[in-house]
Amino acid sequence: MGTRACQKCVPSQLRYSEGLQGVLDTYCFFYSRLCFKMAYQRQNGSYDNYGGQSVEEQYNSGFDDLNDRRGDRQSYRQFQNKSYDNGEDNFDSYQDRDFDSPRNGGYDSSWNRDFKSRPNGNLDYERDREFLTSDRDFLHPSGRDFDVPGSRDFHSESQINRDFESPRYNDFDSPKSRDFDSTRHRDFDSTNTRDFDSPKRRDFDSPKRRDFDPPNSENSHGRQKFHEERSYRAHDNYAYSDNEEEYQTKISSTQARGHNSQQRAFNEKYREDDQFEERFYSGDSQNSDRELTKNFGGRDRNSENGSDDETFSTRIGFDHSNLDGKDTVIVRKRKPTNISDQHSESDSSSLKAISKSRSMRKSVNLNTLPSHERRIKNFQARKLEALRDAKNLEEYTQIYRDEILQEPVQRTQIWKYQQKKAWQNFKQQTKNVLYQLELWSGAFKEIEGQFGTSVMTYFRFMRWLLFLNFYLMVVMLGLTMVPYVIKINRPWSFLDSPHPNNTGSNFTGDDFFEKALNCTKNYIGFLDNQTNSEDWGSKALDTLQGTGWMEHTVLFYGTYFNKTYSLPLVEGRLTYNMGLSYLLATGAAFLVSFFLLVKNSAKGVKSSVLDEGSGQMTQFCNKVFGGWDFCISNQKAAKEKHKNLTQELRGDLDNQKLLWKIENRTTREKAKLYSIRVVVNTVVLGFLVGSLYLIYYANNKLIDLQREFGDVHPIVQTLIQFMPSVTITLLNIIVPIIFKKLVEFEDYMPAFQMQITLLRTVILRLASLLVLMGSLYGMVVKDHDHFVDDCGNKRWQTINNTSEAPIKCWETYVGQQIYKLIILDFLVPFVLTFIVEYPRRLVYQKFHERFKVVNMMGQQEFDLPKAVLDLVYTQTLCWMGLFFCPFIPMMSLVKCFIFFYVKKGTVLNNCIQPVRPFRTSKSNSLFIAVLFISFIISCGPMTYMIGTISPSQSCGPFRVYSVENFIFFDTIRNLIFTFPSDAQKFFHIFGTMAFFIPAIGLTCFFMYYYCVQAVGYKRRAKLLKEDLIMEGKDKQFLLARVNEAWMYIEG
Amino acid sequence: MGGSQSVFSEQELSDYQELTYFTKKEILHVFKRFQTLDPDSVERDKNAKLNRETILKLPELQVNPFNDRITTVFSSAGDGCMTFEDFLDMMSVFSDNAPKNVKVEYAFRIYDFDEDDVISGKDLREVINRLTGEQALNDEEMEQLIQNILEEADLDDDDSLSFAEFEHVISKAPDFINSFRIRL
Repeated sequence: MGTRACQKCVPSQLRYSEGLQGVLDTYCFFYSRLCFKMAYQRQNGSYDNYGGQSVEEQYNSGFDDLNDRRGDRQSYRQFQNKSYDNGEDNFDSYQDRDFDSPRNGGYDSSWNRDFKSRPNGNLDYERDREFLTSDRDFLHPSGRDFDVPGSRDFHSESQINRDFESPRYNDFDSPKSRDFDSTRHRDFDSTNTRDFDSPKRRDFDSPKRRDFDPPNSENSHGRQKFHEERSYRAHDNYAYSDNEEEYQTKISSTQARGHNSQQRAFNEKYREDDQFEERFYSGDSQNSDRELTKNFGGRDRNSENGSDDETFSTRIGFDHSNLDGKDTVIVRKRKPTNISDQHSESDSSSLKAISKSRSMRKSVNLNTLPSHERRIKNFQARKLEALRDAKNLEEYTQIYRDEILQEPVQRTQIWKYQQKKAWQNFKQQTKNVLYQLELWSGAFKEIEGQFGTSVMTYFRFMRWLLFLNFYLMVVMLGLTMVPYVIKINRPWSFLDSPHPNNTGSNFTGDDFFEKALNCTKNYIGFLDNQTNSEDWGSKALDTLQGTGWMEHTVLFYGTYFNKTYSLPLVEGRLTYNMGLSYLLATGAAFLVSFFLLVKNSAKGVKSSVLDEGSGQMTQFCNKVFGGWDFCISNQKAAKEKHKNLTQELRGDLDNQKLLWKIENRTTREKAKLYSIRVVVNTVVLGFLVGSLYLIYYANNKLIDLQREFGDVHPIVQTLIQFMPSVTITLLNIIVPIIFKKLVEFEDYMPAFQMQITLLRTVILRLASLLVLMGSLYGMVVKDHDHFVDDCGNKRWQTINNTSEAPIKCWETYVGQQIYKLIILDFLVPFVLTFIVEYPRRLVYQKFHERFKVVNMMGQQEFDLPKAVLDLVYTQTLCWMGLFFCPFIPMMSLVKCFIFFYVKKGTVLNNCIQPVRPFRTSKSNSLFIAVLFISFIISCGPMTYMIGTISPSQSCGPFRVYSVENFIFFDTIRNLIFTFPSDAQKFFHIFGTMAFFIPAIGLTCFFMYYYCVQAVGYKRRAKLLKEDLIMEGKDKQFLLARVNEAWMYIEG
Repeated sequence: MGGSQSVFSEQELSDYQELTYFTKKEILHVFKRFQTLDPDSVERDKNAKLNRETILKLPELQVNPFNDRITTVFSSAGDGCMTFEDFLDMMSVFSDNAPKNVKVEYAFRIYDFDEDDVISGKDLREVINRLTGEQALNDEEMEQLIQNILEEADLDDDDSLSFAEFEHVISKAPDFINSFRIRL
């Protein structure tokens, strides 16, 4: 959020940091720092009216004020001049000595240059120096003060560290200043400042010190920059310095006392010098603090920064620059706005030097360690408190606003930002509106609350299918039924339709039309014969079968024919080419389904690619960190969620144990298991083949039986009619149960167990449909011995008066078969729900305590894979049947709609949570994958039929052939022939090899390209992960060294 | 809406809009929800500081196992008390429009119970305990679970998750973004 707020107004001179994130972080951080300073200034009571001032003014006035204060300090300085100069003398003398060494000469000259070579008028520089010196002035005494009690026992390093906690600060009034000091001590213990100043330390003649000298110390340029940078830091921290002054003046008398001893200690031990110098450069406190924590495991990364963030986040947003470890870099780049560009350049390049030296330090300097975490925390807490008391919302907002307004922002940027914002708002609002309109969202929430998201995906899938069927319905009905039913001076039946010659259309030859007329007459007569004597009972039965009176309705293919309308506004008459419309509608329906499927599965693919290779890797994290749904708002749902999560986690753990068990299997066990698996698979295969044959047999026997029992009761006839459908439905109910039992012997992992059961069931379902199609194909397309092949139907008429019934319009016949299946598919689960599931629950509720059998049977579990398969099956039927029976999409739409409520009712009332819930993120893609398979399977017969089979001449929109051996696709061909010749050529190219070979080649090329790209990305991800791991290892290694060193020091 | 319209000046509203992921209308809606928590004191002062108990009257927070952490993290004072701005901040982070990285940051802070900037085994135990309801898993299961999580996410083997590690593992946890939100 903070980042967002800042996006608009990044100061241009801060842009040199790496990338946008860096810039934003820098900026946010700058703001937070500003407010941090403000707080301190307020606390000191030095500055009263900052509200309206710009930052620069604040800086300046801050500096001026400090300069004034320096005047006050003069006396104190003079007073302690001697002692202080002692240190200074030392310092100078090292410098002199260092001049001799070529290595450090560069450094010193640069040091001097840093101070002297600046143009006089450079206010910034002056100020820098002021700060540096002022820091030194008042820090030095504080250091000495610290040393007073410590000087007694200055012999061990650890003693010094302990001293930090000693009550030596008791004489200071301000507890805050003590905190400052203590943090600073910690900083000084860190390796930070010492490294920078190591050349000076060389005077102590410690060989160890020399080692610390960073290799780049020859680089005077880098050093100079470093010093410059340091002076900026002094800038940034003047608030601290300021604060520290307070107590320094108070304690000046005590310091005088302690001075000598301090000096002694100073000379005796180089360690002390560290602290001295660290005070000297106390301007680093913030930065070094952060570095310290970063170097040592990052425990307290947040602590120092936290206060800034707190202040900042509550006002503008939360800036987590401290969390991503960029802060050290950012801090270095931050600087007062009025410093020249030269500074910024050197600043950034000094970064390199510093980071180099820091990396050195990391590995070498282990003398001091961050052992004061608790104290740091306390300090942070108190600082925070102080900050909170001091801050004033209006003031901050004002400052931020001023800052933001002052920034030069380009017009295009503003415009872009506004556009983006407006677009986002628009998107969100439409989303909100759509969300309100969303169908069943309340039901979803209810189900989700009780059964978790995995069951909810089933219902979501159902809704998706509902919409799919809706689109299919619109396409099919809109293109076929509606034009057919519209009554504008139309012929009432095909027999009445005008002769094509009269219409002026370019139909060739009347013979095809005559033929169609004759065939139709024959067919209608045949139908009338069947339906004449029907009573209401048999009419009702016909309704179930799609035969009799229903056969000649708009429900089925057979009724449609080309219509001619006289339109009121257009001269003459217009023929509606029903055949073309029919084909295009079918094509459009399949295309719509295809695109929706692809779109939906793309989502699944995206997420599955995301966690590919690590799909199992993050399952626990996913459950634990993403487990709780923050939307849950009622007590019951929350309880359910707890239970659900426990169950899931426990299930996963069991799963894992199972995995371990599998790994520990002995060879003997393995052999036994594999043999069992082979046997089970054979049995499964047997079942599959057996049931498929049964379907085939039932279908083939159907018509014979129909003939045989032609004169028995119509209900029996109906039952016979339903035989193939009942067979399929029964097999679909029984066989999956057997599969489910069988798979338990195979001892697979639960997830795999579910998948393989699903796979087998899918095979059964789709294969049974295919077998049905196959047997139908055999019946209507193949030549038969006993039948006359006429009017596009192979079973047009019986020859030898056999028992088999003729088929006068095979498309309608196929449509009837599918219609029956759909009716059954609708009725059976409905009946099962109310006859089996509901009573089962009642029985269980009443008797499960009394009868063991009932208890063993248990409650109905919601069987997700089976439920999904039912849906997929219905959809497959829909695709297969929509050509023969354009009404089918509407039927499946209604089915989906009713079933949603039935299923919801049974899930919420009759079922219990599945013991092993599906993985939510995977289940949807699995459903879609299954649906996709079924889509392709149903596409196959369709294209085959349209491309090769001749339509009936007795019925349907294609009954008037245009050529001998007419096929469905000829309609399209005829259409193209009516186009202008150029367009004809264009379409012709699509059918030639010249188009297909390059097209396939190009597709292959793109596929290959994307495959290679994907492999590359995967490899890169792997490398990055390895990097991450190595980084962690590095950290651990360093920590181990640190610990070793610590042990060594401790002795 | 008219009543609360006057509560904020246009300037304030547009500021809030800039700083959150909400539209002005939604900000007013958030304010309404804030108001329902304690109508009296908010009536008196729109920037009233409501204490933790009052904030937890929000139904989503009431049943949330991490509610105390949420209030602490979003409270500017760190003590669980929230002003309207804190509240707005919170709702903004939990809104659908907040990007994932923002959510991840706050989630990290919420799950970091001892506030030591790493999610240690202890934090994980606490998270799991709260997720499953107190003591639903036995010790052995708990240990195994924590071990599994660390195995998945702890890349540098220091037995705790740093923010980077957390972010990394969340980027692969598809359910997080869907679950870490509160509808207005």
